[in-house]
Formats: sequence, structure tokens, C-alpha cells
Amino acid sequence: MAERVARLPAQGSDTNWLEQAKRLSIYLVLLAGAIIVFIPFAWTLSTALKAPDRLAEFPPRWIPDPIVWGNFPEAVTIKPFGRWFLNTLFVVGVATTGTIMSASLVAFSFARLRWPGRNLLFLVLLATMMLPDQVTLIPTFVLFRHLGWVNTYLPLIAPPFFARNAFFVFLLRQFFMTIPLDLDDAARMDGASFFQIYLRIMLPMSKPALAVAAIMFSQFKWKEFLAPLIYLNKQEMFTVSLGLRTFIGESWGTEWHLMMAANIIFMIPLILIFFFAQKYFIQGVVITGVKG
Amino acid sequence: MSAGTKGLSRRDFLRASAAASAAPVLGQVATTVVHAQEPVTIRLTAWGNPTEFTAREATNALFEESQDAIKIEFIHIPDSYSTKLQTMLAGGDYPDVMYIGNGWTVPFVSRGQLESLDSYIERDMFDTSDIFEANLKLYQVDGVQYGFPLDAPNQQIFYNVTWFEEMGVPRPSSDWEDESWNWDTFLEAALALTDRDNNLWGFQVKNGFRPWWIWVTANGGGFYNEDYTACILNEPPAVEAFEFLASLIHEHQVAPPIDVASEMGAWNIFEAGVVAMDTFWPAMGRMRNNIGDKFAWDVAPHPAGAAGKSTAGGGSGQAISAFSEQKDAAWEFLRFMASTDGVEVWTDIMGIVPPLQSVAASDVFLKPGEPPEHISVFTDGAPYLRPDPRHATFAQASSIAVSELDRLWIGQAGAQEVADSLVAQINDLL
Repeated sequence: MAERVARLPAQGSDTNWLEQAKRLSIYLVLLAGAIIVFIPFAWTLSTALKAPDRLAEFPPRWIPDPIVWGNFPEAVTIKPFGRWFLNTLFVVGVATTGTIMSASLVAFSFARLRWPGRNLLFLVLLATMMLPDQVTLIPTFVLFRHLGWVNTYLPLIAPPFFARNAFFVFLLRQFFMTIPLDLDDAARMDGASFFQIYLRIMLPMSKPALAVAAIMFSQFKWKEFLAPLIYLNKQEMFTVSLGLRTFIGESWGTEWHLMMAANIIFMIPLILIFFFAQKYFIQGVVITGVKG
Repeated sequence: MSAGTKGLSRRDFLRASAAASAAPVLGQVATTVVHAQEPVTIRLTAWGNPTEFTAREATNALFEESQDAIKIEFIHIPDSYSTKLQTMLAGGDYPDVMYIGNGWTVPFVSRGQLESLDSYIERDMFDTSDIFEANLKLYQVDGVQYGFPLDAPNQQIFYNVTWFEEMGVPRPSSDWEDESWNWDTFLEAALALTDRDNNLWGFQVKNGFRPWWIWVTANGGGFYNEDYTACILNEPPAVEAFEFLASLIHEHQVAPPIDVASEMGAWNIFEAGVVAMDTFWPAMGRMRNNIGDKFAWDVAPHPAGAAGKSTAGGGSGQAISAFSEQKDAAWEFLRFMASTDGVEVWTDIMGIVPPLQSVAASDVFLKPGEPPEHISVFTDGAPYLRPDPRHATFAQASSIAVSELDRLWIGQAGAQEVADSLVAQINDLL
């Protein structure tokens, strides 16, 4: 017994040591991964601080000499980036609101209501996810042109109000299906209509899923390029993703230092969103990965 | 006393009748006057980075100042230009004036998307004799003019004068007729300039179409046969050119391997002083900015091959959409951009080779005291221009050729094998 007791601490410290070694190796792997992921960002930052004639130095310098902080103010003042930033906030804000409202309503119908052809229609909806935007580009353009919407924000903000993005309908439907049906029954017993069930029960209970959808959609919308390119003609209406391309010259050459500086500045909102809403990002992975 | 209280006299009746009959005419005149005062707006699509954008804004403003009747709505397409333009055209949202690459003329005309300029040129007796003939022809199909060039670029060798002098290597001749600058003397120079241990290379082999097209045509090769029924890049003149270029990388090692060059930034390593000679289009404005006083540089033609000297290029121009509703106004703008005033501003800001011979001979282009010393190489080279082949399959065919040739540049396959393979694929298109 005494022998056993005497061995216990030793066994405990072994386990402890093993545990620590395991943790250390995990951290080392994560650190290596983080460094690999960080390299392109570090190069972006390094390029953003270089003088134009030092962009192609060989061997490459990670720490520029001289460090040109002036690239940052120049990048955002050479073009109306303030305006483009506000335009993007407007488009992202309105479109995200539209997507959350419409996708949740449609998802509610697919998840909680029984109606003929529901499953078939859901399959059709899922099939629309397989269609690349390029395939529907011209018919959609013709439609919006006839509506007089070209060179307005409507092609960017109106479709989200009609559950244009099937992925979010799918995401929310999967989440709604995990909520017990008893809640609907109880509400119905108390005289609630379908819409009241949606509004008073499903939405409040689905806040994490709605937050995930909102974050994922706003991230997608922030970076969206094709639709703004096609529908916006005037520079003062550009979004940031389109504005960043103004540094590219097809034959003249790209002003990399300014483009990288502007990129870093406009990465900040996304980084902040990620920082404050990390929990929801992870939940998003769980919901889309496990439930989907 | 009002007219209504009194009976209508015969004179009043005649006056009223005259006024009534004159009203539509006067109305029309008035409308015409109003219309004449209201400027027409034409829509212009163009790509461009900040420098090109500045040049656009300056020339648009100058055009608007030069008259009151026409305004420009500039649709700046910063990226994926072709995607947006073709979507607009397919969707019925037609611009009036389009900025196009010269290689687009044939496909656009074959789709009926460009307006012929012949009737406008004839009506206004517009003199096109000052435009470089080779560049004007790039916008013709079957003798019909569809556009005007905005520049007249061709690709030449940019070389580092300081480096040549330090190594005691004679500078390449800038005289197009001097054939002592040929593939042999070029190789000698490249060997003398290369210092691999210090990562200094005599030349850079680029894998884009035009940089190797120059060597193929200098050796007497072509892309298609005369009736466009077969690709002839696997015939000896082209294969020899490919072999020569590949030998610069693998055998003589005077050019950095393609992947290494790409890592270093293939378009920037001349400016960084890593290669002594490089093929470039005449982006003098860019070179002056980026090189500054780091080293002296100049330009020379590519060396003469078995068929003499050659250059590639052609540049971009402007055309009127066949579906434009403001063709007259669009023509006025095109005309202005082909005039001395328009070309001078465009050349000054862009630092390119102007399409007008008179401007090319002026200080606006020559910029005395600024590099390159032999800037006239670009304008003197106009007769040696071998433009991109003009066939509807060319865009796809050249992309196949470029991609297949990568196997040669990285040393995976021989020149003849690669050429046979790419020719087989291109012939399938034809």
C-alpha cells in the first residue's frame, strides 16, 4: 500500500509531463500553422510600407528600407475610399438585413410547415447553389436593365430580400429543425398563428444561428466583386472591393504598394468582426459542418 | 378691354391664323435651339490604373472644354474589363465609345459590335495620314476602318547602360538597319553580363506571347499558314527560335529560370537591376518613375534573326459601338482623341508612344534630357511591327501555345515536341 501511495505522485507527474508535452506539441503545430498563414499577410504589410522603386528588390527585404508610412494616407486619398467605405457599409448593412429576414422566413417554412411539394422545392432551392454566378450573369443583367436598376444599388441589395442566397436558407432550416416541435404545438394551443410562431418563438431561439448567418453573409458581401463590377458604373458608387482594383493596370503595371496599403486598411473591419464574434464563427463551422 | 369681349376682326383672324400656322415651325425651331443647348452625353468604357485614369480624366475634360454639345460619362472598369463590357453588350446596355485592345477588332467586328468609321472619315474629310499606318491598320477589317489607335507601342529591349559599361560590353546598336546586332552578338553580350553567383542575369526569357513572338518572326516563322487552316509554330523557323530562347535558360544560363524570374516579379526585375536586358513595351513613364537615378538605361531593337529584325505589339484604341444611339457625338470624341491636342495630353501623362507621327517627333514624346536616349527606336521600328495574328481563334490559340511552351521553359520537354503538341491542339480549333 505504502509502495502504491509512494508511486502515485510519480505517476501523477508522469501524466502531467505527458500532458504538458502533448499540449506543447499542439501549440508548436498551431504556431507553425499560424506562421505559415501569417506569411502572406506579413508580405502584404511589408509591400505596403515600401517605396515604389523598392518593390522588386532581390533578395526580397522583409523590413523595408526606407519604411514609407505615407503609402497609407496616399492609398486612401488618391481615390475616394472614404466614400467607397460608406457605400460598402450601406450595401452590406441593407443586404444582410434582407438576407436574415427572408432566409429565416423561407427556412421556417421548409423546416416547420407541411405543404405539398415542400421537399421537391427544397431540392430545387439547393440546386441553385450549384449554379455559378457567371451562368446567370447575362439573363440577370437583362432583367435588371429592364427594371432600370443598372447603375443603382438595387441589384446588390434587393435580391437578398427574396432569399436569393440558398445557402443561408439551408443553414437556418437545419438549425430550425433542431428546435423541438412541442414548442410550436404549445404556441398553437395558445392561439398563435404561424407567423407569430416564427416571430415569437423561432427567431428568439435561433439568435446564434442568425448571428452566424449575418456574419457569414456580411463577410461575403464585403468581399463581393462580380455584382458591383457589373452593375455599378460611376466611380462614386463603387464598393471597396471594386475600388481596390483601381490600382491594377492591365499593361501599365499595378501600384502594389498602394494596393497593399489600402487592402490592410479595409481588412480592419473584417478583422474586428472576427475578433468580436469569434464565438459565432466557430458555431458557424459547427452548424454548417455537423448539422449540414 | 379683352379680345373676347369684342368680335374677332378680319385682321385679328389673319394674325391668329398666321400665328397658328407658324407655331409648329417656331416650336420646332425652339425645340431645336433647346436641344442644341442641351449637351448630349456619350458613354465611354475604359480600363485603367490611377495613371491611366488621370489621363482619361484630363482628356475627357479637355474634350468637354473644346465644345459645349457633348459630355462624357466615363464608365471606369478597373478589372475584368472584357467580362463587364461583353455583359453590357449582350444585355443591351450599349456604351457609345469603347476602349479596346487592337486584337479585339476582328472578333468584335465578326460579332457586328463595331461601327464603321469610313462614312464619318469621308464626310468630314478627316485626315488620317499623320497616324502611324501600321497602327491604323490594326483597326481595319477588310479595308474598313473601325477604330483609331490611342498609342503605338512595340516591344523592345530595355537595357541597363550602367551595367554594360561596368562590364565593358559594347552597347547594342539602336539602328534598325544595323544587323551586326544579331543572335550571336546578343548571346556574347548576355554571357559577358551574367554573374550567376551574384544573381545577375544577362537577359530574361518571358513566357508571354509577344516576348517570344518577336524571336519567332525575326527568324522567319509564323503562327498560322496563309489561309488560316493550320498553325505553323512547329516549322523550323519557329522551333529554332524556341530552342534558342530555351538555351538561354538551360544551356547558356544567361537568363534566370522562368519560375525563379516569376518569384522575383518578372515585370519588375529589370527595374530592380537583376537583369541587364529585358523585353518591355514602351512604358517609359513607369520606367522613369521606378528606376529614377538607380542606373542609366536605354532601348534597342531585338537582335536580327535569319529574317532580320522584328518587334511585336500594337496597343489599344477606341471604337464606336454599332448599337450606339449617339454615333455622331461618339465620332466627335474619337476624332478629338486622334487629334494633336488629345494625343499630346495622353502621351504626356501616360509616357507612351503616340499614334501620331507629328507628336512622336515632338518634345512631348521625345522628352529631351530624359531616358531613354534612343527613344526613336520605338517610332523607327513601326515598319518592323509583326502584330498579333488576326484570327477569331487567336485568343484561345495563343493561350494554348503559351501554356504548352511552359514545358519547354522549365526544361520538361524539347522544343519540337512542345511545338508539335501545341500545333495539334490549335489545329483542332481551326
